[in-house]
Amino acid sequence: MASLAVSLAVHNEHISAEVIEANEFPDLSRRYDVYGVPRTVVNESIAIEGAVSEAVLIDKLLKAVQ
Amino acid sequence: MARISAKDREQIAKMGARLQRDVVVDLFTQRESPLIVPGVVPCETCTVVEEVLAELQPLIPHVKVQTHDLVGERELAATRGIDRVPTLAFDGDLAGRIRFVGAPLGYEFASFLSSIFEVGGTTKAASDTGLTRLAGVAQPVNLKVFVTPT
Repeated sequence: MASLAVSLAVHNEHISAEVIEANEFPDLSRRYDVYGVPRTVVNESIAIEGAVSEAVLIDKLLKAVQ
Repeated sequence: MARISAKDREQIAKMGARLQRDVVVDLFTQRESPLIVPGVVPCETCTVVEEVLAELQPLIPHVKVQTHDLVGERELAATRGIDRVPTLAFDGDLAGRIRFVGAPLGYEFASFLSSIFEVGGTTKAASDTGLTRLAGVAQPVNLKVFVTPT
């Protein structure tokens, strides 16, 4: 998921990607309800559990900007 | 003791030789202090990350690492929205858009390397179809991917 998120950010100037080490920052993990990894949060609002396909990630991303 | 194994070094150097452009990585770190300062949490992984980058840089000549002290360069950090250490952020055209917060070690070292190759123009994790679907996105989208080293 990290590599895909970075790739999307490299190729689309409107996208930013942060890869966060959950164990190192428990306050962030609590804030974003991280109980398992990977967990991807899109625009602070939509969360995706686990590794998903590129198509699913893009679906969620487009939903976040609708 | 080397942080990157001899086998990995060889592979990284081979991949790194194919980079098409410079990749500038800003490492925001925290200087070690013998003093215990109330409210300041010691950075447990900053030294390891610095050592890994020091080994990585000569393997991939296109990688340029710029090390910044989060406290001493707080204005620069603030302009990038960086308030934690260690943070690795790509500079140049990508400034402020891609960062690794926390040490990208273990399994995540592969993700960090993959990002270097992606930024350097040698690999592309996203498909052309996917990128075309995103071509109409005209407002900011932030992705936070939480990971662990194992």
